[in-house]
Amino acid sequence: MNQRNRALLVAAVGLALLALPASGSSYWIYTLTIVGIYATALIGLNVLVGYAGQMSFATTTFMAAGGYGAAVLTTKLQWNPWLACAAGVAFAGVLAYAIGFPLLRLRGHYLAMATFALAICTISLVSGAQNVTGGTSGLPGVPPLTIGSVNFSTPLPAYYFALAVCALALFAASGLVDSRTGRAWRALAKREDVATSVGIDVRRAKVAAFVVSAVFAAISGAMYVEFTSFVSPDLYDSSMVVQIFIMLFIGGVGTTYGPLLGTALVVVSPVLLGRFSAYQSIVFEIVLLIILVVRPQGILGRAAGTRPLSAILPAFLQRRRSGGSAA
Amino acid sequence: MNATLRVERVTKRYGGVIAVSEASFAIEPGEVHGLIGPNGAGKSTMLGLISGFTLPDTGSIRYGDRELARTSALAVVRAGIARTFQSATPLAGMTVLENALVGLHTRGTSGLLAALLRLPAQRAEEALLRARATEALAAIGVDMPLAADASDLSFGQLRFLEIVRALGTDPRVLLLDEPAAGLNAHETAELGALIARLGARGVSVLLVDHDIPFVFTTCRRITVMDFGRIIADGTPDEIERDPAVRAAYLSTDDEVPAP
Repeated sequence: MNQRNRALLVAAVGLALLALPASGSSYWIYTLTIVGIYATALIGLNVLVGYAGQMSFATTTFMAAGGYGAAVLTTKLQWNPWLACAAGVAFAGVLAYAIGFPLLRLRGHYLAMATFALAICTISLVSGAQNVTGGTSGLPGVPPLTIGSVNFSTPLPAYYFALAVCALALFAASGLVDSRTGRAWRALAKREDVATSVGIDVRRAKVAAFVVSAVFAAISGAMYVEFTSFVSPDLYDSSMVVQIFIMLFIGGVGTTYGPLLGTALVVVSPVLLGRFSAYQSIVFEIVLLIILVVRPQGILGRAAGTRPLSAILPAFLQRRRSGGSAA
Repeated sequence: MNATLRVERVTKRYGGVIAVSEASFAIEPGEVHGLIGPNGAGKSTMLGLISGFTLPDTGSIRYGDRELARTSALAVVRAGIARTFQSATPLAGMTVLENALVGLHTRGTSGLLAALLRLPAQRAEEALLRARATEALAAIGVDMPLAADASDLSFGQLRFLEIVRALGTDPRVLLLDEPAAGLNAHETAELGALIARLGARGVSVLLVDHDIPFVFTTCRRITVMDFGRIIADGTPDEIERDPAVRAAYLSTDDEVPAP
């Protein structure tokens, strides 16, 4: 697809999203609000994983920092919701900075394992700190974000708010990726020694990407809690950790719109697969496996890694298909 | 301003193997200096030691009055000493222009927030860096499509792109690790001309290469290593006549250093 067609497609999708509420479907308005909120976190994670090449499962940790920050400060300390969200996001950024320096000394699988451990610790921490977080039952009654009489937890304002934040996140992230900092990330993702050889401080650059992803995740976490007026450890449990991973890779890691598409597919697919009722999740997992095998680079990823569908067949079946001539 | 790079009694061991042993030599400002020796002589290790990617066990590496032997690779490049790598290192997924821009990292100052908010100053700096990178690519003497992915370049183009990237840091010393390997005759000639231009501009060049005739015609001084030790150091004429050098090369399958 050339650049002009791509821009047209993006504009068309954008217009359709703006016009969607005219359809009056409260279900789709709600679903796409959730997509917009999660996609904000995914856009940040894509910066870290897709561009800076640092695998992290800790997104839920920073979503929780934003979400619990907003909930605790508003319900326990009666802070203004906007201020509480901002504080939650700032806390996530500082937290990411503080743990980023030791954590990002690790590479590859070790970094993935350490961040996974962080995500698991987060669940225990928010479940256990009963007095602050309400434990496993969570904190209900989080007051909504409002401007004058506009309440951003009601369907239409929430929808447009999520859309706007998501679009801003996309705009900011794509600007970053094309900047001096973004080039440093992409360089160190390929070759840390080459990045160092041109004067890039690899460790600082990694931490910067980690902080960016944490801030985007916290914004997403705070928005979700403000929208649903409720926070509990279930929002950040291990199935969410896995879902975020799927959202990231299914759409195409390291692509501009991959995180959006991935989030949309994961959030919307239960609806589309509804007819399979009890088999819904197994159908979803199978479709997912097929995508990961056939297009490991994701739906929007560069075509280099594409394999034919037959690649997922066992070897003896592939031989039969090609007339037994395979070596 | 431009200073002498002095390697003094540097030793590096890997387990029981002595990769570099008590090695000393100096590169004057603007000098094109060759470093040759049979395979395994310690040339690449030496380049790693000077560039700070490898830490020496003992010895000193000074640029002017700065001691670099105990600092980091980052400090070395910031002190004005840049390097290329022996293996081809295209930053795949980035265009040719972006690869050159990565080299200009230290020439820019704009940070994360400026890019997030797309501040005017950041946009202006970006435009300036792009213009500089385009100019540097045009000046290198080998045609390269700016918008192509770096991994699509020919081997020769890639070598030159790597040099553009290293030169982006505006080095006063450039360490080249086998830049002529795999180049055709025309490209080798271009490379020689480029190195001569750098020398004339006052940039010191340390050239590690297996193409002996190329090193002899390009360099003003040559240091020869064998088994981690420096066995000769002098002008190409002196090196050519040196019996120890001839012995070192004749005892291996490597090329004899005769022009």
